[in-house]
Amino acid sequence: MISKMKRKFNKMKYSFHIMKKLIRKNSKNYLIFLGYQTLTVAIIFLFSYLLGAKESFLNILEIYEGEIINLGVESYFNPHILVLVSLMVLVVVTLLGFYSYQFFLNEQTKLLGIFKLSGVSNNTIIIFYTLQLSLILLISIPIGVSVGYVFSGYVNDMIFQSLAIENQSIQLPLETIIHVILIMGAQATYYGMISFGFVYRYEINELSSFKAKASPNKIRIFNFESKMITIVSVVYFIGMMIALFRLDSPDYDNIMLIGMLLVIPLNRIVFNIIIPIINKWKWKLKNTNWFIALSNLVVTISKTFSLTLFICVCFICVFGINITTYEFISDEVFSKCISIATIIIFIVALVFSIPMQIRSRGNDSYQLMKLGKTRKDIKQIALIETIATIISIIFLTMFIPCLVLCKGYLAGLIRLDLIGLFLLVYAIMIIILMIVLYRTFLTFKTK
Amino acid sequence: MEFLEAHNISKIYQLDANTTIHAVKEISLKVKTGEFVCIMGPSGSGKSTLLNLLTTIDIPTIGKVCINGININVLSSDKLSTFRNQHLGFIFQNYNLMDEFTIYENLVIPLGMVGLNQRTIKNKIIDITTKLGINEILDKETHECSGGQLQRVAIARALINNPTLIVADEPTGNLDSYTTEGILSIFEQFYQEGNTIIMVSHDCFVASHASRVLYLEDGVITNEILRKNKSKEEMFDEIVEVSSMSYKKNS
Amino acid sequence: MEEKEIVKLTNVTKIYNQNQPLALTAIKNINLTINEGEFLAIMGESGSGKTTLLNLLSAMIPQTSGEVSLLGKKTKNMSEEDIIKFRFANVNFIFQDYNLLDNLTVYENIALLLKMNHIETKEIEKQIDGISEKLGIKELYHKYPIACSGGQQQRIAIARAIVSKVKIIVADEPTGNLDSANSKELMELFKILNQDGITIILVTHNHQIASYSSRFVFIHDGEIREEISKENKNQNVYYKEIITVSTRRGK
Repeated sequence: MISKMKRKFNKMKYSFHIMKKLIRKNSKNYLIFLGYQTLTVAIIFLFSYLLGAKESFLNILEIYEGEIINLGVESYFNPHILVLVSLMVLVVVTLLGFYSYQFFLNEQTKLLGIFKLSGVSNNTIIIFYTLQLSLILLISIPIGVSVGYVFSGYVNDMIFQSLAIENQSIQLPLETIIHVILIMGAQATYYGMISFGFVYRYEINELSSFKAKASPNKIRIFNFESKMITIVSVVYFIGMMIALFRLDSPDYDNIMLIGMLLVIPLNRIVFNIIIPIINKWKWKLKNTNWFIALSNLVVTISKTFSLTLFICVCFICVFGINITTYEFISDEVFSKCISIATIIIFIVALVFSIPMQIRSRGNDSYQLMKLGKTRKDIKQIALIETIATIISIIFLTMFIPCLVLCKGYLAGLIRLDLIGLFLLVYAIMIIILMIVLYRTFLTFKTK
Repeated sequence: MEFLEAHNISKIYQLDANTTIHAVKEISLKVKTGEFVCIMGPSGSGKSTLLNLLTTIDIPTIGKVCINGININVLSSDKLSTFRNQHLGFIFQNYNLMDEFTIYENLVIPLGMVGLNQRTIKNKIIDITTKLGINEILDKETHECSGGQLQRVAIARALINNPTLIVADEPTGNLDSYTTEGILSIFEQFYQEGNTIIMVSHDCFVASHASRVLYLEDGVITNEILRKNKSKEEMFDEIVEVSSMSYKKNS
Repeated sequence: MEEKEIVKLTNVTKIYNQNQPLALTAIKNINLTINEGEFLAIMGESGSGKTTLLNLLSAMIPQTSGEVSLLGKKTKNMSEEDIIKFRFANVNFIFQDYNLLDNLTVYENIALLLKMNHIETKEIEKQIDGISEKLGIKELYHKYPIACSGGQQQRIAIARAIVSKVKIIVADEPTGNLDSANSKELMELFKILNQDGITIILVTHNHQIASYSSRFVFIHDGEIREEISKENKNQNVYYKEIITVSTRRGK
């Protein structure tokens, strides 16, 4: 009989062996997740540094107080902004982690099913997933911290340059390290929770039959209840828009709030009006390439809807911050720093997570060729789909933020140069996304 | 108390506000040790659902299922995994093997992940694969093997811990007749050794090897055929008769 | 009556992964002519080359050596685009894995080929209704293929192939997931289509299914070993001949 210790040792040994094999065969999945994690760590480090270095900066400024002409320098570190920005960073980083880990786990569903069928206990399975996660964190943390450290050096230089005083390197404050450890700990716990949920909720049913459960984002058929909700949503949406533009003496709080409220009915409007219209319209077109492309588009919108909505909300926040920084800070550089930093975060979110969601789309080009579509047709379908998807992404992520922007501009709260910078970066990001999408749609998968 | 008892089990799905689906409707049945049961029926009749309910893969909405006197629906997940590891073996139509692993590695999973020694594992694997005639392909990848070989590997994985119950969902669906015969003779040997098999199949020929055939229609058992002393041919004829009767009824 | 050659294979060989260590000769030097209006059944063990032969007959894959002509035209002289267009105009497929598009509803999947032929939307509806009623898939119109059972998916794939009128229907294991009642119905449907002049090429490993054909071919190890014609025989006699011919090669 084998002792309990020996058993545990054997289980660990085999878990490692399985993991090694999986990494070798599925290296792409592991690399994508590793990349995301490293990015996450770098971002956390960078912002923790900024927060932690606050005291040191203020001390240096005190020494040079007499020489600095700029007023309101203390407000560089206005608590309002710092809290807002930190919160946003936390949210983005959490969601980045959430999506990438979910995606990573979903690729391992078959193995989980086989574990469960073979009678491997849930504890052992959790240990297996914990080992995997630990390996990834072990690699990503050193790399991420190094990248973050380098970037914090750049930010340091930028700030001193703008103050036109001698460059003094600020030592890494203890607070930063504590901060990083706390956030990483929280993230690790969060990942652990996701793993738990994944293992315990999994139903073997999915392994034994080909049936999929009724998916929550099912495109519903138009019935009476649904009609009522749609009408209410449209009326609400129009009402909020009117409220937004008739706001007298607005400040950023109000504008952002109404912007957020506009997002709520968007869900119903897209699923109950726009998608059925597309579904009806595609029959009228003679070219079946359009038919296929639009059908794919509808499924893509349903799959990536929550993601685009999240990004839309983030953009509203970005514009809010823009307005805020204008109010509180007169200096170009620092507000530019914040804008650029937030923009970079959203580039990552948009450009990488949307193709990830689309990656598992069903129809691939070999299938279509077997059904009678030539390569020319397939290229046309990919092109139409790319353009249509980009248009819908732009609509879903920017329509409401643009309304917020317009109102802010009309109220004289917006700084055009900062917005210009944002829009420029958004445009570049959209172009990158377009190229990535086109290539994804053109994939020829073999079984 | 028989080996497996199902007491008035039903499986009800609620798709949305207006649609309720009764996949299995109030079925009670008893399976003795050493029976080879085949569940048949037209597609959509609830065969796979019933199989899942009887073998710990799914839990009935109403009713309970007991194996060896133990109510499997209330077992904690740890006890459930131990139970599956020691008493059950699963075989599916599409083999469900990991394509990233070799045949040997696939067979290690039910042994290594419960903590057995390397030597014990090796012996067990060589034992079972020799018995099933696949010990030559242990180092191969799954895409290098034919369907028949892969299904034998799946059976090896199912039998490796000496279970008392084999669960098979369309085990010969992707195989040709010669390979099917080979697989079915393995099953026959298993149940003649005193173990129990519950299988789902829509193929009359496959079903004729069973000792007991349950015909399922719309979630209800409408017919039962017992082997007793019949030959396989007689069994086959009776099964064909029952399935064509249901076909005539529905057209 | 002059018999028109629909497909002709002359000394065709197909080797996968040529010049690599895993090179596999799937088809060796096959000569096969299929005339218009024939109902051909191809049978063989798993791994014998049936699917490869089917793919070669419909120019889905290029041959390694030899000549393939479709309706008198040699495929060597046709560009990839021409072959795809030819196939689309003349051949409808029922694939073994159904090949349904995941992002289209069931109705749209069936309607796609008709729409590609520029048929009016209303006309499409009429044509589809008849067939879907017969195959029992009318309630599935708004579902996505992934939410349907294997048998349902198979019937959807069959409906898609039958609903647009073409000269040739090629079917790879079309009854794999169907029970005996539905299989019988499908074969009767094929018989009617064949009587209307449509050429049907079928791969199966079910003897009963094969007995609906007018010509039977047995493949073993990439070569045609046996060939029988039904001519004026009774279906029962033909069926027994098929069993004899295929089982004596099976060992």
